[in-house]
Amino acid sequence: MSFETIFNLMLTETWRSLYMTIFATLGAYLVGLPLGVFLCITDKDGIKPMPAINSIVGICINIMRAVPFLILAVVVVPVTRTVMGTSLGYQAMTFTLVIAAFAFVARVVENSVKAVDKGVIEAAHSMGASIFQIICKVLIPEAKPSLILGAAISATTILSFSAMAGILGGDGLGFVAISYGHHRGQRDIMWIAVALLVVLVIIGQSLGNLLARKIDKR
Amino acid sequence: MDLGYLDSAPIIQIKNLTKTFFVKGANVTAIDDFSLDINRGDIYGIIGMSGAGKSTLVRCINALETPTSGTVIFDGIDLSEQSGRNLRHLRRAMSMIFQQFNLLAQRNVLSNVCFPLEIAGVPRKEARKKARELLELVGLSEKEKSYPAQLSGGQKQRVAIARALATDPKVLLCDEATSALDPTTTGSILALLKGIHERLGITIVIITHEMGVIEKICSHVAVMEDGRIAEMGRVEEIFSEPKSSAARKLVYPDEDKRVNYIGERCIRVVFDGSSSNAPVFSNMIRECNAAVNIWFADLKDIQGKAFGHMIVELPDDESQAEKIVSYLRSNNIKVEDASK
Repeated sequence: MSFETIFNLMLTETWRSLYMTIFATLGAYLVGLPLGVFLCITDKDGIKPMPAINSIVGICINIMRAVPFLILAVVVVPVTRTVMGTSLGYQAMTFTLVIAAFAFVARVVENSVKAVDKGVIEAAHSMGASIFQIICKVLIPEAKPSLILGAAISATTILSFSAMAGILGGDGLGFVAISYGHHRGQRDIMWIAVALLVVLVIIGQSLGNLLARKIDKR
Repeated sequence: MDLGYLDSAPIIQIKNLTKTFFVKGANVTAIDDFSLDINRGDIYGIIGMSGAGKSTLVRCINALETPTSGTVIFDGIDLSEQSGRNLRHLRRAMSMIFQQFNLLAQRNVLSNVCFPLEIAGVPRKEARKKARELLELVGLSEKEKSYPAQLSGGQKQRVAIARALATDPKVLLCDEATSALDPTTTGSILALLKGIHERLGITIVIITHEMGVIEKICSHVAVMEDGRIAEMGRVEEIFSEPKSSAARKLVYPDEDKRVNYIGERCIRVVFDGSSSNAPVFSNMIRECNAAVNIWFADLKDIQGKAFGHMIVELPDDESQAEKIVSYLRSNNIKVEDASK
């Protein structure tokens, strides 16, 4: 393979990895953020305790998280096919990744929101704030730096999920590493793809750390 | 409606309040049949050792805790009959400040003071104007862009006070508001509260375990022990003649340690703020021509008057001893027997 072919291949597949990671992370937060906040406020020490519902949702999330990603991805193939029209390619795989990652994201969010100072919540109560106001004006803004760090962790986890999805006919750097490197024995291509994944993880994590530190006023 | 009556009625009436918590399979009574009236414009202190139920009490006053039985009537409204939206509305009329300040760490000072106004739905521009006025009142105008992490404890409490005043409350509840501060800062925060009280006529309820806080600014005090009122009344009364053991412990904190030193013929000389500024003791010694042995003295100046007590050992001579006692009594000083 010529340098140009390799370069173009890597460029396309890096973009596809990024596409899957970015959109799957956004999608997973669309579901996971409200779910995580819900888990936190309905806890027995939360601002709106609903112990029964809380434990049911908690168990469902634990099940989702316990199922290995590859198994889950196979199980949701029919759903992906119905929703996206196909189960192949990076766009379809983005949907699968959302399903696979939102439960993880919910736990990460729950963790961040739970760490908000109870005293500040009490102060908001004493000012007559409603549950909704406490969520929007206290819980999420006060947890913001921690939420951003959590998002960096979630995004890098989703990136590694997306690499695994290469086996199932997704695109991206994981697919390149497996199909060229493993199946065709082109080890150099495999290592380039892996190196690019490493770089993406480092950049993603560093951006998260930097941003979190910059906006944290504590 | 006769508003004149409402004005003279207590702003907070606590009637037979009981609060029990279910902790680890057992009922714990935090507040036990507690009744108290707080009048408009009072600075009312509620003092007790930790675990006396003070914090639970203050949370029942603004309905953050629901009483197990009994009622809290705020400004003529029974809080137990209110719920949801009404209750949230009422809470804006009784703000609270805390031991740990509880400022929003991710908001700057100005935005922290605006916070309760945002919750109340006040337009942003108006809220900022009000917040700036309040920051000026607490002496922190130049810090409006700082974040809580950049402020000292005393400054944080000033921001919290400004924030608490933003919704023009009728009552300010202070839950151990100076307990995390050093003595000098405590003094300046109490002076600020006193100034605010004089300026706005707001009713202030102070929860504390420090007698020093009560003596500096309170007009009335209730001494709390095991969820009940051990004693209550005007601060001067409690300081000059603490009757309950809980109040004695707070007014004379070292009394227990002293017992061993007290000899056979001792009297307790009590200053209740009514004696003149004359040097009573040296006059007495000259007048009675007797030497006395002072074992212990704990006197303090409360709003310009002398309060406290002394333990004095009398001379062996009976007639001399009697002379001393009657001299002191004739000078409006209380004398009680304090022999072993």
